[in-house]
Amino acid sequence: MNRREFGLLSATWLAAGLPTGLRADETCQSPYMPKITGHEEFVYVWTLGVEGMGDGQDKLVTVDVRPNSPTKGTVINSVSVGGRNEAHHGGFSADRRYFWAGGLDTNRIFIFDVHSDPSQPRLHKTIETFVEDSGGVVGPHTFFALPGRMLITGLSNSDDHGGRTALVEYNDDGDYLATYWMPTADDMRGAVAVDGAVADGYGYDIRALIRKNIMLTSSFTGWSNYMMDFGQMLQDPEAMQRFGNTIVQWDLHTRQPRKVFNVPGAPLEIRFPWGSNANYAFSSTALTSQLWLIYEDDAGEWQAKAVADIGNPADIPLPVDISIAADDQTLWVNSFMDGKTRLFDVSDPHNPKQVYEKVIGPQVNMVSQSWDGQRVYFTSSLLANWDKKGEDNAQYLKAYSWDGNELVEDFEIDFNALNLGRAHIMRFGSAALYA
Amino acid sequence: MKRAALVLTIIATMAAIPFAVSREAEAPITASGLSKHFEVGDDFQYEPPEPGTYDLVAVKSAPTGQVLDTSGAQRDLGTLLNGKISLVSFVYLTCGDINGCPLAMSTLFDIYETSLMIPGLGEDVQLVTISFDPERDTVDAINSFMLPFASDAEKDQKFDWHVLTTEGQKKLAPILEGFGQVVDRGSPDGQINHLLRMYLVDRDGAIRNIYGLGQIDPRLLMGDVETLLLSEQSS
Amino acid sequence: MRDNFLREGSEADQSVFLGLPTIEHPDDNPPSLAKLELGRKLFLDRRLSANGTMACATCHLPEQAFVNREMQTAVGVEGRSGRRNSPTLLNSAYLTTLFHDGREISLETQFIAPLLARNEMANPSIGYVIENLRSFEDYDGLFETAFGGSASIEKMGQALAVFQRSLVAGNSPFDQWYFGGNDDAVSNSVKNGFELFSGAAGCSNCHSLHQTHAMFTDNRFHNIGYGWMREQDRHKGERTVNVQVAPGVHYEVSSSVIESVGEGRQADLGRYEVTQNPKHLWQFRTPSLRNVGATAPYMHDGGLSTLADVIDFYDKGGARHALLSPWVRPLHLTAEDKDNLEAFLNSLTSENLDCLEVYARSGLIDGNRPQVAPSLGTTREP
Repeated sequence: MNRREFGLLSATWLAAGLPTGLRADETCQSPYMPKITGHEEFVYVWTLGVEGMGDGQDKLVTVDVRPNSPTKGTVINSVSVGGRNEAHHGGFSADRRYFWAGGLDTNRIFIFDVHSDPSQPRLHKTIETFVEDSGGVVGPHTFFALPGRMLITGLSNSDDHGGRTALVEYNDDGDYLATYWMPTADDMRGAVAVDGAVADGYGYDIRALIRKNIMLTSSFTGWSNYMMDFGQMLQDPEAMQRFGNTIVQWDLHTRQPRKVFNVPGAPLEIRFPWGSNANYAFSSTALTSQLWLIYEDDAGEWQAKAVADIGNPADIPLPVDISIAADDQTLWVNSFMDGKTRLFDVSDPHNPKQVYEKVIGPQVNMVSQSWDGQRVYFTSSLLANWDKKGEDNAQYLKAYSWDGNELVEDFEIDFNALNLGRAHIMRFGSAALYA
Repeated sequence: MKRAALVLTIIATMAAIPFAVSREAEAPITASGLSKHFEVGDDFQYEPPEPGTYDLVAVKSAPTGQVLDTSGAQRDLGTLLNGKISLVSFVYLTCGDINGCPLAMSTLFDIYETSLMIPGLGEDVQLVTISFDPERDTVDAINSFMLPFASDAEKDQKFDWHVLTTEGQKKLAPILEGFGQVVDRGSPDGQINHLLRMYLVDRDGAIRNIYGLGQIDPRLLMGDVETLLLSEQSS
Repeated sequence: MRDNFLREGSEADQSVFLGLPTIEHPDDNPPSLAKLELGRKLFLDRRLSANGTMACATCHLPEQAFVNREMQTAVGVEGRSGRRNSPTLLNSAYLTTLFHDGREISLETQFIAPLLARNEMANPSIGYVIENLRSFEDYDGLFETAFGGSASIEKMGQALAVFQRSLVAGNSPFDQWYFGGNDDAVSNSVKNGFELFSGAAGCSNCHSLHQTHAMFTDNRFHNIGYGWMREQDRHKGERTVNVQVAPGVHYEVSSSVIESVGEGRQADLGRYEVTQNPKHLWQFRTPSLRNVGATAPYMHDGGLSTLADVIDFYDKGGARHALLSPWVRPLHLTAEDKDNLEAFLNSLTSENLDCLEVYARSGLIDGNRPQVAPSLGTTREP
């Protein structure tokens, strides 16, 4: 056997998941990370505290989803972290032993130990110095695991609380390593703008395709907007001018920006497919309600184009989270304002077709699906000051089964009734990961 | 049985590679250029970044600790790492996961053989492989594993390749912890679950890069080595 | 020209004050370099808010002429909504009343309100803030050096006041022409605009000038109909709002959709909220027009995006209702008149705004620490 044959074998294995012996999981993780390809056991929900509700604090809530457990479908653990930090997104370290969760307002980063007892995560460490470490980055958003390190996208900066921001890198011990500012029209940092794109320097999500040494980042808005009352912002023409309109292509290995694509209307989540020959990624634009494809063309150049509308864009359905199936054939797309999830057939990524839709609640934000696609979970909260008011402010985790035709509700947890708060990002846990 | 599998794999690899790497393709004598001597694997569908055009931030300090070499001699890991740029990897010889240790070992082997093309680079660069299975990977085991290398007539012109084990878990644990190499034992079939990792350690003992699956690309590894050498020259 | 606005005596320094009156420093708070630097540090310190996320400079951005151009009304701790647009700190040394409703009279005490307001910096108490300041190691000795004693509410206010009084910006093209006698400093359009401003349009009745200087404010309160109009807007039924979702892409959004995700705008009764005098309903302090071209959006709630919008509002005679100021009446301006007025307003932008930005962020003037206290123009020696 020579090295080339070794390589082929390892490619096969990558597609199957790793390490061997573990089968599993939500499909939106760092490809460096072990996956749960079997049945997820726990859903961790990073939850925003609400003033006057329970202890008023942000908390990591653990829900039991083990099929035969007597406590299935209930909250079995909750770790409050102190304060309301605008809990938002989080991600596991590459060895999946720790869950890093960020606060977009206070810039605190909470590192939970999820491997010592996956049913009882505990707070392991808090990083209080993100802004000072990074040289002024605000709003730690996506936590993208690299071996031994965590790459964190910012949303804002401490100077003007606008959208100019950076990627920030820490090691797994929580020590700061480096800051990479997003390219701007004034300082392209070696990147090239294509299709008339104006580099805005904004940030949101980050995903990578290791095989291509490519990393993509998307762009949302700064602290001033994501903390602002949503209704107030919609009526504020100054504020509405401050949304990102770009996706940036980076060299993953060097963290250097290469291309800036014009993707107008706040592109948020980015998802690469899993297939070994799939050289593309999806993103959805929150304000313009479009599905975008970032893809490698026949000449080997990466391009960006809109490939589908999500609902009627003029109604501003506000697409939020998306989730791609492990077989790359379908994509769940949630939209916040109409509370809907839509399933797109993306077998031809250049021509996605909506094949199903269902109202999940008065508002919906995040969606996570199991590796086999048979279980789909939804949560409700977008941002503390963007969530709906009054009766429509439903806060929940809802679990569904998906048989290929219909979402059938399995259980629902009412986060308001339990005095927990606003349910945001979900991540799956399993004791099988640490055997 | 499983050890036999990996040993056989390595021997087969040794047999195959020397044909791909010929001394006749004369290389520039500078350090810069080693990364250019590798074939492009199907897993790595990119042009690697040009060495020296990017920074490698120090991730943290590599740990020190007591290890054993193939002769059974006690070695201080910190001393061993000091003074040379090291590619450090963790394996176990009975690894039956073709995508784990054998992948790392075949890449290291590729680098080891190719190092012949840049005479003198061995003064600056070495390979370090540490077993995380000291119970089965005894000194005798690693010694017999390395026998084919000991008889390599050209080995003085190639990188040093230190294959090491430890006296036991007590000595091993702080080393694994220090590097951040996660290992799960408890599999009923005797296999050890671990995430494939490789570490680039500079002359001063700082970890400058960590590679996972999909990055064990000899062009990338040696490009990073060149980048470190170039940054030493410019500083 | 980057003026060394703090250095006493040189000709360059004098020029910054062209068109401005003399600064009156209070007897009990003469300026000093130590107070200035302490005040600047306090101004930038995010730890002075309840959860460490906001500094004074978060709403009064040095890069944006000490306002926030990126929103109409201010956003406070945890994103709580303010009702009003952040006013500029430029030339606040010359104001005799502070806030849009004039509820404060001194820079030495003004800072307390935003520090404690629930929808601003939201601190639980002043004592809490002072206790924090005393515990921050990077403040060790700073209050002692500046005042000869440890941090207190009074000293904090004095330091912040000294800093704000240093944010002086005159010497605009208008000043160079009108007070400096340089006929080429402004265009004819500016001159015509000024003639209208101070003549037929009657703007200078409230945005007033003196013979030797001009702050373009009478420091008084007037009801121009804008506040009343915004209150009527609040009670309109179903309507649509034009929302930009991307550059060049706008959708009409129903107010019911907006209300589903918004708490709704609060009432703002202006000066009445301070005096409880019904005659003062919807009166607001006349803002200085200096640097108005750099401080969009406009009006107490930032509801008008451009100077052209503001001129249009006045041209129509404000918003007619029983309490409307008699000064405000339809102007019947031509398009050229409006252009000239706008040109005049834009001629009030000072040249040293970049310098003030760098100074506020870094403490440096032309790359150096200031050597002399900002006493220029004081009536009393420090």
